[in-house]
Amino acid sequence: MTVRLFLLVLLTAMHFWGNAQSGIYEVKTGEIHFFSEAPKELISASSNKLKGIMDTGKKTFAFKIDIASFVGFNNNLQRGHFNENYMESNLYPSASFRGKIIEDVDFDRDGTYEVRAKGKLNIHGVEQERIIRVVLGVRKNRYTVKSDFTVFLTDHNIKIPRVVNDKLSPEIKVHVTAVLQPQNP
Amino acid sequence: MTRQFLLILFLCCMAVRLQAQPRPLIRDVWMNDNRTPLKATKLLSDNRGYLLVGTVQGLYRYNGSTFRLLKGTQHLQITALSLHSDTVWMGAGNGCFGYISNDSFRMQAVPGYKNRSAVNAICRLPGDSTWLGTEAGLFFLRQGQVRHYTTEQGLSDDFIYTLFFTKDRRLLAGTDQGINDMAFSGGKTGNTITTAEQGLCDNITRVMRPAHTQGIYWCGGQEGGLSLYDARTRQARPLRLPEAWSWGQINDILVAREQKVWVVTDAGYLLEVNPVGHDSARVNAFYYPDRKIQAILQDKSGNIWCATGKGLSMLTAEYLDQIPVAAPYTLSAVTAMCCDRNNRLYMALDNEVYFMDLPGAAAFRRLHRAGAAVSVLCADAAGRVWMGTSGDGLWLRQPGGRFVKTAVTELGAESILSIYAGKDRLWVSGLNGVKEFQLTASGQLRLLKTHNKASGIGSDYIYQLFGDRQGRLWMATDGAGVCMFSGGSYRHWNTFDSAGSNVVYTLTEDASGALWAGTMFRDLFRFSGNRWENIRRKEVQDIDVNLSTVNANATGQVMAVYQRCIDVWYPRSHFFRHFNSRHGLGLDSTSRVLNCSARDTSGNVYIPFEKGLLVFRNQPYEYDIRPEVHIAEINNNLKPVEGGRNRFGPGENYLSFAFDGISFTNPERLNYRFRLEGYSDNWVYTNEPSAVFPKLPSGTYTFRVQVSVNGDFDHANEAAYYFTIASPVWKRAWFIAMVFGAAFVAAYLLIRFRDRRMQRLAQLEQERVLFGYEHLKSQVNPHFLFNSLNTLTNLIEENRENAVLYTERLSDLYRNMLRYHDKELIALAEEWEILMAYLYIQQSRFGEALKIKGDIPERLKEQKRIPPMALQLLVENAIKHNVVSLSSPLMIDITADEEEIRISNPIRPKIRRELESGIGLTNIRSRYALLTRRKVRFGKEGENWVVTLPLL
Repeated sequence: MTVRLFLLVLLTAMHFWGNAQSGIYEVKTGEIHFFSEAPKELISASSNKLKGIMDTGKKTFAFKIDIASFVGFNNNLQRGHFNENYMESNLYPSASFRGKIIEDVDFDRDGTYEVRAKGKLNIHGVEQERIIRVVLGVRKNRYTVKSDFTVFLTDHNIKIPRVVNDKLSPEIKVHVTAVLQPQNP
Repeated sequence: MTRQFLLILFLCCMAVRLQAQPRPLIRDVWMNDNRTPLKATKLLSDNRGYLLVGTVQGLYRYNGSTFRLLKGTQHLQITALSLHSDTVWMGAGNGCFGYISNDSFRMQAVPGYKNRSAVNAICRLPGDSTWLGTEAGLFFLRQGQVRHYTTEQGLSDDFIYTLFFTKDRRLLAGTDQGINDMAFSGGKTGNTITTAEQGLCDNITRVMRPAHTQGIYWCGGQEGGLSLYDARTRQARPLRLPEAWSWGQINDILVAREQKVWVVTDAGYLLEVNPVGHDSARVNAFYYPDRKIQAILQDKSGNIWCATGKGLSMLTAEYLDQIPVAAPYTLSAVTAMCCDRNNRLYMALDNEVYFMDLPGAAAFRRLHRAGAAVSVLCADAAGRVWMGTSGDGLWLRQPGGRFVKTAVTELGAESILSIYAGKDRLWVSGLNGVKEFQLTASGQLRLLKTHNKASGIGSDYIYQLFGDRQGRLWMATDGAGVCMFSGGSYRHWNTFDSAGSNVVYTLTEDASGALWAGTMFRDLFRFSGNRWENIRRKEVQDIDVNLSTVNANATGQVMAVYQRCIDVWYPRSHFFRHFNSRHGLGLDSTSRVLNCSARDTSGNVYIPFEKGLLVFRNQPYEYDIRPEVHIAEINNNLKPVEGGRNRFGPGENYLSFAFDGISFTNPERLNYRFRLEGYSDNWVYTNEPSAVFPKLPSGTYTFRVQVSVNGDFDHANEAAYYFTIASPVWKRAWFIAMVFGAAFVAAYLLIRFRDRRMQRLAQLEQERVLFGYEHLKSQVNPHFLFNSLNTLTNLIEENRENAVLYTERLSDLYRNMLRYHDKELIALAEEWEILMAYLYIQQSRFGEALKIKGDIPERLKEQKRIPPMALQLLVENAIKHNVVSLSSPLMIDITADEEEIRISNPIRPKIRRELESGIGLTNIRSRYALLTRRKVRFGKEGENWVVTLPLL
């Protein structure tokens, strides 16, 4: 009987050791791609320096990326313009999105959830309240985040000079993927 | 014949579709002069009639024509606007809030309130307590006390969108996680949270608006659409729609009249939601993708305003729709229209007839191609449609059938101008008057009578036949005004004989039963009582010419269609609402064809225009389209008057007023009239919104200004300002009374003074005369003469020269006495002469016994004055009263200085007094008293008798 009691206590303890439901999850790997489709030019770039955390208990998150880490433009000059003229990454080195998740997610149950992430998207120093649909894949100790949304350059005070009017689209399509794992204590 | 028939049949079967769907007219307004886009996010109508527009760069006030940025709001992103007891409260994106007063923003700085996140909602309660719904929770501020409610205190979420207080003082907060229904009683807070699990369509409750039913709120979510929250039962239910919500995030909800709700979404949709039953509805969607509508509001005149990403847009959705009709429709081809009892609209384009089933969701389909241009279409009560053509006679279409030419030969090939189908009569007007046919139940015609000029109508051309609800037939004639045919007789009015008016083109009857007639140029008449009244006379604009059609809807509005504009009469506001191409609504031109309009069975009026059909809808609630006016600025002596002040001092008399007219229907037509009551009762008519009154006299005044859009001020709104200008001190009653009093007193005193002076002068004169007389009398005194003559005798014997001298001196003395005796004052020198002469006489008598010592500077003798005989009298007195003998000589000492002359002598009283002459010191004293205030002094000084006389 004491053995059973001991096993019961051990199992209960193990249950709670392995349990990371209401914890902080950190981005292990993450990528952002963006696309600009304009009549005369297609531009795309990506960065895998996405950082972020998510608190599953409070249902809040915060993601950040360095603007200068985007690569993959059509040429280096374009990348230079991107950083100096449009995004002004010397003034605004990073873009961030922090907020909360609206829907209730049962983080215990494995599955795919489509939720709305509502928060402040800060690009080029201008903050906009956004609601972005996110597909959240829940598996024990491993969450995946996938999302597609559009960024309107005028919302964030990024001006397109007339000369490049048909080379740069005022709406940029953004694709985000990330894998989150429990934060190391 | 059969081939023609087949051809016609074939053509009829060809469904030529013309796409159509009713939508409101929309007009965009730029908020600044550069026509740059400015994102507007909040709208509010304030208690004075202004439209307040909150943008990302400040709060603007709109009066229908100009935008004015309110001071202090320039760099603020406006996130909350609400009206509480006539004050506008505002919240900004950086957390600050306050109210608007005197056109500027008064930010409230409350110590302890350190919120930097956007304020999305403000609620005020009496007792100066403020509730703020922000993105970081709920704040309660009262009298310096700040309380903060967040998720820690039980809120479902910190991000608050809206706040409302229910009737029983519960606070409803729409948040990102449902509705929080909070009750604060005592110190405890009770909160009921309603989320998607409890029936809300979406947790994110972006908008809440109170419905018409007390306690019910419309809620709009981010996806999922509309729900209804019942605050009494604290329950929510989603609105059931025929299809799932596909229009995106709801940005704002407008609860309009009659249960209808307008919803604007982020995807660019404007939805007209008509509730059906308890919790379902029909949705009519309009798509405006490039105008992301953030907020929606309805003003007093019925216009719907939308705040968009570019500025402001106005929709006519509540009173006017358009049905765009595509090619082959063109305005110039429209020749006739009518609507039958099943709400099927027929329209003729040249010689083709199309139809469409109203309310217009379907398309126009071709029905018939006629041989000649169609000129008239008329639907009767039995469902038949009559068609008149220009040269191809009269056609009839039985219900469900096709057009068949009637066998009426009497009409021949003449053009048909108008058709009216009564109960059992058909009236057809052509170029030879009106033909009256008997109409059988099956549609057979039999000509009864021809009415024309000869028969009594007065003209052969009748442009329109109109049957009113009482069954009387009205005719709009060319040259004979309006003719009414009823009970077999004709009736005319001579109002129409005035220049240009006796050609009447069009007639209609409005909802109250009054007939309207439109004449050739632009006069519109209304028949009320027994006479025709010219409504147009009150309008001031002259661009409306060439009236072609009048028609009326079922709620009292009357539409008058002109060549370049349309006027709609609002009976309760008493004037026309004007629509023309300059309003930016896309109303460019209208049809020139007479009587080209149709009216459906509900009463909505259809009028063709460039792009299709205009639908003037019934307005179950008649909006008040009268403009309003407010006094915006009052300046006194070029300085603004602080709020509330209306008492001014006497120099503050240069008043200038600037007023602001608000009209959201026809701001380009605003005109004013004003007067300053207390100054003049005449009205000054002007287009300029300012009035100046320089140099106003003091008094009480009332400045009154009225506003109108057509020059008719009978029912105009007005603004007034009462003020007083104090009169200057010198005009006040008490001052004037005082002045008069003083004047009276002064006059009285002056008179009295003069009186006294006169009296004194008279007395002086009298004294002088008396003295002179007495003196004369005394000098002619025999005693003196006796003594003088004795002395003379002795002298003659002793010394003849001396005797001559003595006589000369005696005569000098008498001569001087005569000369000066009636004078008031003589020079001291002259008096001295008299004295010397007198002394010579006396010394001649007394010899050494009389000694005079007189040391008077010459200057004094010349400058100073003294009453005549004064010195002489005193010396005479001295001689009289004292011993003058050799053993006891009399020494009279006379000295003088600037002020007085002094005569003194030692006192040697005589044993035997001479008789008093009656003139004494008293006379001298009284003479002096009349001349000066200085005193004559006399008395004993030691052993001497001294008399001092002032020198004048």
